[in-house]
Amino acid sequence: MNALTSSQQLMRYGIGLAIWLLGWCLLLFFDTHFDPVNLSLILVLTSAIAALWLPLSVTLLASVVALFAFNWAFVPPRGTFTINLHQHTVLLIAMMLVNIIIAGLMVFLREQSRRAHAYAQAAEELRIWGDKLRDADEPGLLLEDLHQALERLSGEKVNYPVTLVALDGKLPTDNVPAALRHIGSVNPEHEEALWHCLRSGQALGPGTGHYQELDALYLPLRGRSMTSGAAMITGIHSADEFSVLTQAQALCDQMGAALERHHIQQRERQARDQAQAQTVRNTLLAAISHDYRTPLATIMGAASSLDQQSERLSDTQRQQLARSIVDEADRLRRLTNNVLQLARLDAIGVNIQGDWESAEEIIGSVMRRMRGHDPQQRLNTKLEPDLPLLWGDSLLLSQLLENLIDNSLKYSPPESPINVSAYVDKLHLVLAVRDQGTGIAAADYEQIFEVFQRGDHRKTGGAGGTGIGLALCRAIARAHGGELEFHATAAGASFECHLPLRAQPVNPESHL
Amino acid sequence: MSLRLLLVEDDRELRATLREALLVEGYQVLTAASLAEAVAMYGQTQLVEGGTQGFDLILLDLGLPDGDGSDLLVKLRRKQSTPVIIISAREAEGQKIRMLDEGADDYLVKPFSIGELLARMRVALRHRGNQVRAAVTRYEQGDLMIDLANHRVSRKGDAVHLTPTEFNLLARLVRSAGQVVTHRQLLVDVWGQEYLDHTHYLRLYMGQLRAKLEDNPAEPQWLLTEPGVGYRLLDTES
Repeated sequence: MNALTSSQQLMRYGIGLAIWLLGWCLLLFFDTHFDPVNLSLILVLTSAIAALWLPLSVTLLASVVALFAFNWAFVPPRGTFTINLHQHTVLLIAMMLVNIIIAGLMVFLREQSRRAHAYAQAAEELRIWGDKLRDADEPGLLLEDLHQALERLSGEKVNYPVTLVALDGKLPTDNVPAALRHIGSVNPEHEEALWHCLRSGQALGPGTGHYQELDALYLPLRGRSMTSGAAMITGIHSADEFSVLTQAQALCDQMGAALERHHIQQRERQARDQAQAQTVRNTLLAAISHDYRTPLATIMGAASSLDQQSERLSDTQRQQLARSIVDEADRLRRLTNNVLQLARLDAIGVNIQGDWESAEEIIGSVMRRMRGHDPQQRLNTKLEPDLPLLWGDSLLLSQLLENLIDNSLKYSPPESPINVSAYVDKLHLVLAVRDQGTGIAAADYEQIFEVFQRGDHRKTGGAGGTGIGLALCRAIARAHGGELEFHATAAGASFECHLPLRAQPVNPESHL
Repeated sequence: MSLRLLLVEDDRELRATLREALLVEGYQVLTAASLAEAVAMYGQTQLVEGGTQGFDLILLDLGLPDGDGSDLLVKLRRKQSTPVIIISAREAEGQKIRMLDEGADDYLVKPFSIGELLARMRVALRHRGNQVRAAVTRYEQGDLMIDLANHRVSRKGDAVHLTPTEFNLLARLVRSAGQVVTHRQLLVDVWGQEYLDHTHYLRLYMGQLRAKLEDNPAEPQWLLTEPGVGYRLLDTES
């Protein structure tokens, strides 16, 4: 659809002239065999065929020249421009008119087919572009492609093609450059025009009817209800600026529509996520307040007893009550820690603040805390020698292990041993807690997790504190790129936290 | 003469409870409920008693109604080495580490038991005025004996051979026995400023020390880990 390049044009002239040459050869060849009327038909034929390649002006010029030459060479008296017979005059005039009409028709036809071809090409381009945008997860990333398309359209390599897009689907109140994404570089003048184009949603520049005096075209990326961006193209000077403009605007609008669609989808997803998060939070709050009641009830009972019945209690009874207050307060402390870590994990997501940590140290610090809850010495530790270092958050990992041990202490038969171990399994470091109980039933285990995932708090039932603790364990394992696994066998239950190993840091001995 | 404590805590119940418990232990306790009050009381004792005999120990809550307790710590540390124990409800390790690095002697997260508080206070008081007095150079706990002056370490009577780096690390912990020493403090003091982010050195050398000095390295008795903060060499005298 662009202007023909010069080499193509040259070839067309060549073919046209060759046909004329061939025609004349035929005329000269048949000269003595046919009378002028028949010969004139060859000339008409030649003119018609040549018109397929030559532009209108050349065809007309060639026809007129050929007519005079024919008159001179073939119409008696030969060698002059005079015509003896009147019928030959009619013949020549008719021939000229037919030549002109045919040439005109041919050129018109050619133009038509060229247009049809160009339209088909433009439509195809729009279709491909539309498909590409539809398939893209993030249409904003296709800005480069839009550029290339616009560049192809303008027909020449331009120095600073620029697109700028409001990425979050909302236009800032001020023209702050940070809110937008540029491709290519712009001067302040261009930037101002781009902003104007973006805010008004109107195309600016030559051929658009707005600010015709501008040296470049500014096209808005329009969606149904908003303009998501603006593009600037330079270098459109060809004759059919109008159709190039239409095509460029169509490409830009497709992009605009795709961007708008994307923003809307994003907003919907956010709203959905928020609603989901809210439900999960409500479930958690319900479960947490339920879990707080039990220790609080014990504390309240023991403390009020000390307060109101003090003089009727024996020393041993008073001591027992005080002891239970301390124990239950400690339970509340651990519950609070779980809730805090869960909130913390929720806030940081998967971007934990990691450091190199040692499994031995994590187990050591947790064991020291848990020994107080293990008067019967049920806990045993078993560590593989020379364990590699872990990359993770030691507080979270300690919390995970503490919850697993606490869970085993609660749900396995009294006085049965509990083994805490750490070992390497292929590319993972495994922290495992094994007991001789049934743990919690496997079905309950899955359900506990689902409860917190789906946020269906009617199902929480008695799972309570274990649920929060285990949900936290799983969240911690996943935040470290690992997984929490539960296995129940006849011999007992085991919770295993599989954490991926990283390439180990350099041994200090090598450069000390 | 009983030791003088300044207790800075804005919660009335906790302040009263702690005060009673500390009085029972024989300490002389002055209380402040706000930062301004604490600063005023601190200044007053300095004026009255000539600036030499202030408080023996300060228990400082961080979240005070008129500002952050850490401001007082910074002010204090510019002049004196009065031991300061932070008591705070904030469990963010970042905060904890910063306070320790800024010169706090210890850090207790609420809730804590009186026994825990008293133990930490005893350690802090023992380390009081390290700058003037000779530093702790000898550590004897159970079957473990560490003599820094003579570079000797023995366990169950047998001499334990330590590499120079292991010894330096252990020595740093012995000098602050009973107190938590942050990763940062250990890395700077043992390896140097440029090794600040080499926490894995600590993991490695502490592991080696535990293997040489502990009965069961997975459940250390002496070389304790404070997850996310640092290490503490247990001191049972406290």
